[in-house]
Amino acid sequence: MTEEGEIKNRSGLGLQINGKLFLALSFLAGMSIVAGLIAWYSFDQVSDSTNRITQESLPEMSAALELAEASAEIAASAPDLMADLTLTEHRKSDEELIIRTVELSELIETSSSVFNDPEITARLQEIEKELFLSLNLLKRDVEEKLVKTSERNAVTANLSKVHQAFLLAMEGPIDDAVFNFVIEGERLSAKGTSSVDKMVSVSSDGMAEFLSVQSELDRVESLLSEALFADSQQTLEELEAEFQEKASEIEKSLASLQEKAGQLAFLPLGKAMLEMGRGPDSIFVRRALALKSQGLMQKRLEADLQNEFSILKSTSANFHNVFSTSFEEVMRSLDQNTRNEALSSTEAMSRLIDVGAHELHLLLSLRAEGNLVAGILSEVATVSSPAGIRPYQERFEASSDRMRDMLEDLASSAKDSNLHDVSLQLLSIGTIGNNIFAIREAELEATSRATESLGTSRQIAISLNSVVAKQVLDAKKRSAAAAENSQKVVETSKYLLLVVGFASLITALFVMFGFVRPLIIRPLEHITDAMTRLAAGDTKVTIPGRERNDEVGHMADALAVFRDTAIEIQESNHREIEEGRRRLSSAIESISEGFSFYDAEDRLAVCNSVYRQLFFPDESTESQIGRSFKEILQDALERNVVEDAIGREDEWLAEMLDNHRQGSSSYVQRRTSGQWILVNERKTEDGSTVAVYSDITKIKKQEEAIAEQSQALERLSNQLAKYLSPQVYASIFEGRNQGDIASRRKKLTVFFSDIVGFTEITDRIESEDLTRILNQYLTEMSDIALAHGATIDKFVGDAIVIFFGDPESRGVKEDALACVRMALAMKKRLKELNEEWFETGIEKPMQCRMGINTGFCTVGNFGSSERMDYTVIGKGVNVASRLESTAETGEIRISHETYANVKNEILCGNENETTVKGIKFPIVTYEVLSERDQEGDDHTVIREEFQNVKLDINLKDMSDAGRLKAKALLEKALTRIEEEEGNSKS
Amino acid sequence: MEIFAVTRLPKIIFSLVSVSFVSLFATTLHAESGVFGNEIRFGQSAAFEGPASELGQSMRNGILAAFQEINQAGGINGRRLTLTSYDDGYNPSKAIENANKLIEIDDVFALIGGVGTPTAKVIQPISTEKNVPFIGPFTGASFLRNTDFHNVVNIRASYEQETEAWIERLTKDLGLSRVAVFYQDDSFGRAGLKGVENALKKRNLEIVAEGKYMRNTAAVKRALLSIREGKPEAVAMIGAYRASAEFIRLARSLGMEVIFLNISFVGSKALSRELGGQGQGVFVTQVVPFPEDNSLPIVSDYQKAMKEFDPAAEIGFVSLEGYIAGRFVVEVLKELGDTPTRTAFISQIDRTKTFDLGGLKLAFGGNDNQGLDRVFLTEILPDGRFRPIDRLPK
Repeated sequence: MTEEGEIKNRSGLGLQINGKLFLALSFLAGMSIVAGLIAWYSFDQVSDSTNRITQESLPEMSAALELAEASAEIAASAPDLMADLTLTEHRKSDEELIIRTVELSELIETSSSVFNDPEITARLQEIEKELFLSLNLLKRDVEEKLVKTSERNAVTANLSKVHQAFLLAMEGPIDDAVFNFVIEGERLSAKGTSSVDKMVSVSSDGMAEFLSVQSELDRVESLLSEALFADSQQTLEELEAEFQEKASEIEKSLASLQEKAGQLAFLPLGKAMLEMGRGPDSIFVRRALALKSQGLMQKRLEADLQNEFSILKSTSANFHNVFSTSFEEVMRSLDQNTRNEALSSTEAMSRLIDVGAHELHLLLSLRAEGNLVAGILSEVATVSSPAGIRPYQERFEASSDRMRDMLEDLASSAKDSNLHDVSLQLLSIGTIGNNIFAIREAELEATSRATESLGTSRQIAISLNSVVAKQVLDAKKRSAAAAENSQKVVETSKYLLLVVGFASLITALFVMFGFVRPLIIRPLEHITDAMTRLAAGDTKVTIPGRERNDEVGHMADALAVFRDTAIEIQESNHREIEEGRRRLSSAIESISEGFSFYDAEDRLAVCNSVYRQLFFPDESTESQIGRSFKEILQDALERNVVEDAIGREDEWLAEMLDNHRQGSSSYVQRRTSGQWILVNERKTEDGSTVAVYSDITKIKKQEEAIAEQSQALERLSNQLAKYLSPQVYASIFEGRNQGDIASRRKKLTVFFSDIVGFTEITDRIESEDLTRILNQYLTEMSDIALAHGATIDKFVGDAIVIFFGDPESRGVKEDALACVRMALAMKKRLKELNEEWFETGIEKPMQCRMGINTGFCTVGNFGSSERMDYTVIGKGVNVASRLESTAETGEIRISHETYANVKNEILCGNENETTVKGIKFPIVTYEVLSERDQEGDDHTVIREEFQNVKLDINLKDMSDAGRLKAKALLEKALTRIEEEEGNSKS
Repeated sequence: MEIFAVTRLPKIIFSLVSVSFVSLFATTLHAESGVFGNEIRFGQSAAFEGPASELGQSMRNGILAAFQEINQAGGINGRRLTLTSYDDGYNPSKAIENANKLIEIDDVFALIGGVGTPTAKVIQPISTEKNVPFIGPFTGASFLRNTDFHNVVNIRASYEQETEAWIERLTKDLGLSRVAVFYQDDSFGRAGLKGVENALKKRNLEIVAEGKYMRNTAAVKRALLSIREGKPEAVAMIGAYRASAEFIRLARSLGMEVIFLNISFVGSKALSRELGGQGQGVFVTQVVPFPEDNSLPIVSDYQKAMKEFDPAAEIGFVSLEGYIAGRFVVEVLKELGDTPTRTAFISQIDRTKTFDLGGLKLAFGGNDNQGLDRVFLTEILPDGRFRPIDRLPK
């Protein structure tokens, strides 16, 4: 308490450190303020110039750049207007352009406040106005151009349509003209030829007629002449007849001639000639008169006739004269006609050629001209300069005139109104008011105007750009000046700050080394040192600095109080621990078992005297505390206290250590003193080990006695097993059959076997050999029986009684089968045994017979309550015994019931009948021959048996002689059978 | 200047983004071309005016009859088939315009039932570039049989097959050797001319005379004159019905007694009508079965469908061809399921495959984009009706 008061009293005097620190820090703060002022000044300068740049130059620049961008966009998109192909496209680009100009004017508006220069603003606005006007102009021109272009396209489209129509319209007339021309020509030439042909044929017919008339008349003349001088009436009459005939012919010819050729001059002459031979005073009449008359009269008549003759001659001459003139005339007229006909045909031909070919020519020229016109018109549509249009137009006009002329010419000959209309339509494309020439010209003019306007707009946009560029340059200059200024200020401030910083550093170093280190840190270090030692438990430490009058002195006082308290607490703790330890060891000491406690490092910490007695009876407990488990064990080994370890010390030690390490183990230890110690070791959570050692010698002794008893029992039962069937043995020792007198009826297969002539054998060989052989025989047979799951009932001397089906049954059929198989195996084994025995000197082999029966038997334990026998009795047993006794040597004989169960698997034969005592009727028996499977595929064995027939041939074992014999026998049998067959039939 | 660049950048990015967005949107839209909620739209550019108008109209009637048949049966997966037709007047420049309009504006699934070789020649490149199926054009031109053009689907036999059949019949049945060719002066006519020339060359023969006329006219007289020069025994005719009829009439008036063989494209019924009872001795090869031959199920279907479609409509070769094209489309679409695409449609033809349309088998695949190969010979009877024949009568 007094110490606390002291601290309070002294607190008034401890302000010295506070004061010194306050002074030093105040000085440092002053320096910082100076540095801050300098920095503030330079920042102010920098921000000032940054402000100037950002508030003035940057907005100016960005406004100017925006302006430049907007004008550049306008300048760039103005040509878009030119590139537009349709009015809708144009409207769209125009709209875009309007938006851009509006943007531009807005930008100029906003930038005027930024630029803060009315002159520049005015200039910009002026340029904007100009630009707006020139763009309007451009837009108008482009619009005009597009209107014209679309008109031109329409006209061009129309042109190609009309041209196509024109060509189609041309096709019909040209086709007709060609066809008509050819066909008409053919027709005309055909007509000319036929008319000349006709004429020639007519004329030649006429001429023939002429000539025949002439020759006929000549004949008439000669007839008449002859008549004039006829010297007999008869001749005259003949001549007259001929004349009359000719005359009528000639008359007909003359009439036809007159009809055809008109009144020809020679016709009356001919007729006159004919008249001379006709009528009452014809030459004939007169000559007849002359012939009749005589004399003068005759003379007068003769003279008259002479006269008549001269008349005839002159008439004839006259006729010939006139005829030849006429004939010539006819010939001439024929010639004339022919010539006329030819002329007219030629004229028609030339007319056809004139008109038809002219028309064809016209049509073809019209088509060519039309194509030319269409070509000119379509070329005009793509002419690139207005000057180029004129020549085309002139060519078009010339062609158009020609076409019109041709159409007019054509109109007279072939009036195809469609062709006419279409041709005019074609021409109209180049002639009507808004013709293609005018359209193309206007289009080209509009294009050039638009190009010009575009140039102007671009110029204006460029001038805008230059104004803006100047503005940008000014702004840049201003911002550069501002930046330079701030740069200077920053430089100066940098030096000043360096000086201030250095001064602050010096001051701080002085305060550190001159004041803080010796006066504060050192004493604190001393006190800390003292506190550390105190904490480590060193309560004797001296506290430094208690003499000081400041805050350090107070701290040292407080520490001294703490130290004194610590000393007191330590002492009281010691007392309590000592008490606890004493109580624990007396508790451990009082238990009867040995107890040990090894700490986590495996050193003995606590143990009681029982433990000491077990491991180090000669040492004191205290001397062993702290030793390791291993060391203690090694000591114990040296003293030979552990029985288990004798002779295998290292091994045992390793085992013990292993158990100890495992943590939780329990084992028994045998001591040389005869003690049995049960050791229980447990690991605790902190890794230490607790072990308890209990003495169990008494319990161990009792265990050994029990084990001895049970061993004796086991030996007993093993002895017993030899006299009992293993099944019976098992059922007794496993508790299934309690050994009660009990029996039950069950279907079993019973087996009997017996050695043939055993009595004779006993006489022949020594009894030692006999015992050996008999035992070997019975042992082998019982092994086979057991292997087949049989229950061996008993041995009666050399006979063996075995049954299947109890205590375990596999089913009646399976039991019977197992029994038969066992019998076969026994038979086989016996043969082998005989060979063995023969080697050892027993000449005569032992033969046995076997009998098997399946039937109901009584099975169970028979006998008194002291002595029982597990066996079978009943009729089934008797039958089996009987079968064995009737069997031939080496034979296995089975009853019918057994046969029925095994016949599928076992081959049997040699059917027989036998009687059994107690059974009224004889029973059927069979001999077991072999397993069926073994001969299934064997072709060397033929075995068949039915009524009156029995065949058993084994080819494999047959010798050649035997084979021949068998063959002869079978042949003989066959012959007999055939004979018998023949007999029975007859 | 750097400030400038910085302010520009976002604009550029924006425009880039918007461009890619628009193109992405455009491609996704394009995948569903021609297939709408309850409709699959087809387009036709054919002649509905001018000398070949009857062909265009008959093709359209046949296709519409087939469409109406399936639409009345509930359509294809609930979608109706419709046909948008534009007139090209047998004129290639108009055909280009129509094809672009059908594909770009009407957004049709496929083009069907076009009429004519010169029009097909200009439509084919457009349709091939845009991968639009070009189905059953009414032409036998050989360039369409080029399987490099995956989108082209031919139904009928080629002109070459027809001209080969002519020469086969002329030389075999009648032992004739003097053959003249009358043809339309364009790709169609020249294709036929080439066909006849090849067929004759195979038999060591030559054309004795040729005559041509301008398309869309009936100016055939010059052709007649030059053919008459050759003194032919038979005239092979590759032209439209009006010009062909005019030619036959004029030839008869000039006393030419020859056999006239016409190609299927001529338009049989129209030809017979134009000839007005003077049709005897005129033969037409056909590429579809005889339309009155009820023994084929497809023909009786056709007759029924035509009666349903328009009781007044006459049955004929051209509308039967249109009907077969329509039925074929229905058959293919049925196999494409609920989301038919042009590519899937075309791939059906690329595979080796046979479509059985009621007794008429259309085989495709490998190097064959033509469904039918048979050529049927018919004769015009005195009453103007047709009769199918196997060989030319002596």
